[in-house]
Amino acid sequence: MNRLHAITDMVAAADPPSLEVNDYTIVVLFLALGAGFAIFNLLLAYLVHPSKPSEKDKLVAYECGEAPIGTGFVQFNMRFYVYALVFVIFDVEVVFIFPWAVVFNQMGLFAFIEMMIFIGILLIGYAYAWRKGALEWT
Amino acid sequence: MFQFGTRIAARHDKLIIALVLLNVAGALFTLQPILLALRQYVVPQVMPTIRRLLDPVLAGMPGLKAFLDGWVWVWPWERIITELMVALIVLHFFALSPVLLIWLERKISGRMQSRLGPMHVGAWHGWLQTLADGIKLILKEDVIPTGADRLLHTIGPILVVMTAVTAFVVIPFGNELIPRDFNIGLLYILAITSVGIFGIVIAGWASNNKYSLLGGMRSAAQLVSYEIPRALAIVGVIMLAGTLQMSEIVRAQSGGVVTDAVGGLREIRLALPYLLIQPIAFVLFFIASVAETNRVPFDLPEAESELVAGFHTEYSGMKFAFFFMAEYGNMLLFSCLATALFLGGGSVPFIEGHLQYATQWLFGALLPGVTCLNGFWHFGIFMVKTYVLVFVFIWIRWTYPRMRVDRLMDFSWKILVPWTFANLVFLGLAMVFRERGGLWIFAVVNWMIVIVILKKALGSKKNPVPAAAQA
Repeated sequence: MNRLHAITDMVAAADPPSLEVNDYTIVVLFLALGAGFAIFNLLLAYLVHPSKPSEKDKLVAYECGEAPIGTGFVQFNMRFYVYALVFVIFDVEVVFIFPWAVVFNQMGLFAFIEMMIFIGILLIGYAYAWRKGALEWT
Repeated sequence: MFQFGTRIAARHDKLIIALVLLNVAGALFTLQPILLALRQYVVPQVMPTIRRLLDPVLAGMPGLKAFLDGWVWVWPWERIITELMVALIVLHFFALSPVLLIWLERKISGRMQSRLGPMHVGAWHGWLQTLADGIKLILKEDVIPTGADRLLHTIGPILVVMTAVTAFVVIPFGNELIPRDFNIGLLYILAITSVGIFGIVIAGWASNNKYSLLGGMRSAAQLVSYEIPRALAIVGVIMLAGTLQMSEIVRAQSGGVVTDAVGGLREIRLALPYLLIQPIAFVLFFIASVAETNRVPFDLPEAESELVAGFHTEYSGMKFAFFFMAEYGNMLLFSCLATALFLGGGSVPFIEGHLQYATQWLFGALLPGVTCLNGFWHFGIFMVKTYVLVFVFIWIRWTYPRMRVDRLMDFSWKILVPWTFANLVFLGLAMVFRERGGLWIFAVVNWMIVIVILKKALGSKKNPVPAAAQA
């Protein structure tokens, strides 16, 4: 009993949850409901589906009917990494453009020129990446 | 257990379909009343009673009492239950739409290929075919290959479905029918749809299969590449609307005469759907959406001629069904999004105010005192627009061949990205010179470019019928 007291005292001493109306509760509920929906269906399937994993070749990774060679974790090409890098640069810039676009209507020419400078600098990087072949698949 | 399932499936397929339909309807029609009862009765009346009864018991336990006071009683339960009810409705919308969409896709593709498509299950044109397929998928064995990461193999499809459902939070189905109208709605959509990529990459990674791994990596590269033009095409909408809030974006596109409840004139606005002002941005957004849903001509991650089935090669049964469901859910999501951003959502341009006045008058005459039905036609119009876009999705799929993987990446980085940047710059210029008719010039030039491109695309069919076939 003492231990329970200690725990509840500790919890009570912590900051109580904020009671301000929070818009984002619904996102948590949606996430929970979506996961719940998926897990419920998986459990339902678990109850009714047959399960005969004993057959020897059934669980082997599929490689067009041949016996698989080596592990499934093969090396993949470096170019995926390069695309990811270019993406990060552009995505950060999109995040910067969004708030600018919201207030653009009120700010007029000044904001426009400012963004043109920013996009100009970005386009130099874009041209550099293009020139260097970062956007080539081969 | 499995024998029970398969025997019933074999002999009583109609019974099973009826049971599943009942189950779905039951979830909607029993869970909702239960939640309603919780909200109307249990929370305001039972909870205070319990609290009062517990008070003497808790007098000896100050810690527990403080915990209940600080963490349980004070939560806004009524609000949470209300939101749960909303979420449940949206979940049903998400879970049942693929049933219709897949059937539609099969029927439309059948028509495009001069065949019938599904005809047997269900009495009329095989309309229950998808449901029968779903039941069959539930009854299929769940094969997890040796060496696969069992946990991640399960988490992948769950994550994909979860994010696809959650993205519907900010879709404005009608003017007042939005699960939650965030003031950063658009940013939220971009963020949450990006999370879905993780599900696909995890699925590819966890399968211990070369094809799955390559499919997952390709998928990541593709989604990441088309994310940029998609986001940049949306920027044009934000610039014109001046907000990220979905309801405000729709309102900014619904022009016409706005009247108040008694029919008095309030204001006259000329606000057009953004499709009319910037058709190029719409086309760019739509192309990027097709790529984001992994559909033909951008279905490289699951290109069956080279990668077997891509990231879901090793998936069977219900987990496979989740990927399928999420694909169609995403298709619907992007159609809804394009409708809200470019087609004016649930509003009708020009006669918006008249329609509003007419429905108020009609419902006022038929059902005096009932005001909740006034905005419902918005939902109908929104759905009509959405399904037109869904049809275009399907139409594209059954018209174009798959792109080559290097062309696919080039198309995004070397064609779409420069076009979206140009759109951004010229729209900004047009808005700076707004008073001198900048937007009109922008719209006219946009449409001219679209017409030229269309003419070029359609004109390339110089000899549709070979001379031999004509003879």
